[in-house]
Amino acid sequence: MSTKPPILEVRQITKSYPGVTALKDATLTLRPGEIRALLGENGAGKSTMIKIIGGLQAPTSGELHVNGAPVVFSGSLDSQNAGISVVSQEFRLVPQMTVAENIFLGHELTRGGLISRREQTERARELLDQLGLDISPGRRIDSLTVADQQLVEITRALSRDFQVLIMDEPTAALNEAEVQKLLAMVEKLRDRGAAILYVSHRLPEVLRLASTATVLRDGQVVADISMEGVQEPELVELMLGKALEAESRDSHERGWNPDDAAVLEVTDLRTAGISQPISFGVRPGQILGVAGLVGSGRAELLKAIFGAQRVQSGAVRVGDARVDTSSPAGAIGSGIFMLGEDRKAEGILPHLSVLENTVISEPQRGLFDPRRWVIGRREERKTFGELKEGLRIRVDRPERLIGALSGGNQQKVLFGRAVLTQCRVLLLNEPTRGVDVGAKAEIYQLIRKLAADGVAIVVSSSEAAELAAVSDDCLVLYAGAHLDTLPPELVTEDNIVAASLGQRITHSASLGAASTSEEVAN
Amino acid sequence: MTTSTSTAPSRGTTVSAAVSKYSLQLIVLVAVVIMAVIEPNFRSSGNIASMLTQASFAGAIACGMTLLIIAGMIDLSVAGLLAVCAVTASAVLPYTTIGGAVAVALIVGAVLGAINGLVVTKLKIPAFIATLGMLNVYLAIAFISTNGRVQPISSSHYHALGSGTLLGLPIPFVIFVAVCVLSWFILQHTPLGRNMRAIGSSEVASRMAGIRVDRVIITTFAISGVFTAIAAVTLSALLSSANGTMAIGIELSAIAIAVVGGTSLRGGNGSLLGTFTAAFLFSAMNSSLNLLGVPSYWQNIAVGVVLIAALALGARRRRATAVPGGAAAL
Repeated sequence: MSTKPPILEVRQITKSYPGVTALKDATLTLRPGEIRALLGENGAGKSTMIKIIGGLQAPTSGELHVNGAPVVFSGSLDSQNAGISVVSQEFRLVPQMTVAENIFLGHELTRGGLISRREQTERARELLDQLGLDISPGRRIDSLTVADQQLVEITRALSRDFQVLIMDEPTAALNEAEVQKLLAMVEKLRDRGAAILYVSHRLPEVLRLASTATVLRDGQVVADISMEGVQEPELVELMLGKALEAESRDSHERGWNPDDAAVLEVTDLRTAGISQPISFGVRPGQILGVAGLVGSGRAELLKAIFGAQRVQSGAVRVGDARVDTSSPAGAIGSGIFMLGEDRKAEGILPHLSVLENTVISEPQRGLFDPRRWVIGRREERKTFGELKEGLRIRVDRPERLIGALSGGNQQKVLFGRAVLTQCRVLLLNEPTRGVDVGAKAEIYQLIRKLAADGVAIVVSSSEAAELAAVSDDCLVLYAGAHLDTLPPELVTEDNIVAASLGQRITHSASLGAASTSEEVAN
Repeated sequence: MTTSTSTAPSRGTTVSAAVSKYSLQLIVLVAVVIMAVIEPNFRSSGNIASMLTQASFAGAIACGMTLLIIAGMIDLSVAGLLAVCAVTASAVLPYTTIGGAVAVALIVGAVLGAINGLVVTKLKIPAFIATLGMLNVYLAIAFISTNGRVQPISSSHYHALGSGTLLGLPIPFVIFVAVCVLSWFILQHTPLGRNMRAIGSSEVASRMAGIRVDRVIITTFAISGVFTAIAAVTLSALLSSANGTMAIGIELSAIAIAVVGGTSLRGGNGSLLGTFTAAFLFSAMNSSLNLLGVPSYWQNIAVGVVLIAALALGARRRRATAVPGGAAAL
């Protein structure tokens, strides 16, 4: 435990917006060599706290102290100059510039007033190596996957001199192996004397790293505790203010009938990121998990089925009809819908209301139906009202902009969008990314409910626990190829993790009936 | 505790929100009243009719521009498109009825607009560049087909489309109002308009939501083409002539009107009431400065200042209104 004087003190900070108090009298201290977890549900005030410490927003009242002296930040540069480095949840990378250029953006390495490209490239490579990352410094950001972008964002924070490091959900986009690397890195930084504020929804990480924790609820600090002897349920209870119902894991009551024919049939599909043709089928009511590390082709597989990425060869069928995979509109017409991994960029329409975001994908009406040409507001409000109940979307007025909702509620709106397309196949990529603990459980329930209604569901996730919690069977991809299919009794967190790392599970256990056609495909 | 404190300021914020929402309309109203009081000629019926007429041409085009900008597009080719439509109308008028000539002009406008949309979507060229290229093409077509000469239009009935009145209002203005209302209806009450806003808000997310993005964009360009053709008819009717240079620079007026009216150049948001008001604002400002005897070169400074001031105010307002949504999203 660190007993040194605090580097950073947040003293009774309040931040209010018109009609909303995001933070109220929040106090927090951070000492050298300390990793402090900042916990709370979405909307609890964590991001506001980070923005204030990072100089992006000014508090309504209260003070910040760095090394014992009061400071006022009027921008992120002030905060950086005070020795605070922030790894933000939202990337602040310039997509058109290279990895090295982004890492040194704003504090370029210069020689005689000119940017020294070679030096930057070398230094960037060193930093990337320290993190054990295999990313070329010369690549453009927009050619990287989301996970790699996240890692570059972290590398950028490390490239600056800092005493205080703020990490906002740094592992949200990472797979297990990358997470382990990152956690080791964070521990190393702590041992060197950095003070770290670690924000994450992933409690195992928090339990491993943090020595202290500050818990926020509704903008107020409800606990400032030492993490010694603290267990996960205790933290969840502090965050929610109530105990969470236990997630039933071992009772795998499959809701589908093995005699049913597959509704989604993928045959010999190849696309960028999938090097070996993949075949599989999903039956009505079945929830098929898709596991795999980043780079395994998980995201690409789903995108290709949905027509959001070019299919190089192979076919997708829904029922007996071949799916037009040339565009998402074509796939939607055939009864497929997808919720992508990047809700902000690919999901929500920020200028549109919650209601409009819900109904936007409704199938186009016939030529002579007046509703094709003129919007029926009353009808839409009724539709939305019913959905809102069923999906438990928390919003006071349907006309609110979608951005005003928390991540979990936004995701529920997108589920509503899927429901209104009357899809028979629903593809979910990282369905609970950036969603708080409470909403996560609700989304799992929702997925099961849709499956119970006969929708065939494919869930792709980087969280093994998530796949173990929701999926019946689980497809495992490894380096662009189909490695294994875990039957329901073998879908456990450990098996998924092991399989994702390239271990075949079904060889050692009895080969179930789950994988037949895919064996032929290889 | 938080709920009770949050209800108290909400009543005050609704009033200030309304003032903020209609600030442009309030400013124009106050300015017009002041002008009417200090300058009797300003409130003469002749001047009013002239102001309304002058607001109509760029105004009708600005309606289409508003839709395009909301969808994340822009059309710099309108001056050329207008010229081609006007020249076509003047060429077919001797062989057909006025209705027939107008119909031909509107069809040409729709086709040329759709071509703009096709170039943008199928050749995947940014609208700014694609329509700049098409501006040159359309202007050239207008010049070549007229040999660079002014085409006179002798029909007095056609002339009435530009100079006549309906219900005491200049016909071009009545048509402009109709175009505004139609645009507003498309934007707010049709699935097409909603898709325009969706695409301007996020093209990627729109595609993922199953919107046929290319189709919507081409349709929007075609609609803008029709509105430009409408301006071509009323303007050539007023001038009783058509030629290649008749509307040079009108794209900038139309964009300025849309933007001062509150349409965000980033797409996703816009107001046709704003576009209507801004069209009138520029016309009224022009008339005021003339009546006050301000030399025309100095008038340009005033126009520029108004444009920048409106944008600066708009930016401040956006920052102010962006906060609550952002805060709740944390």
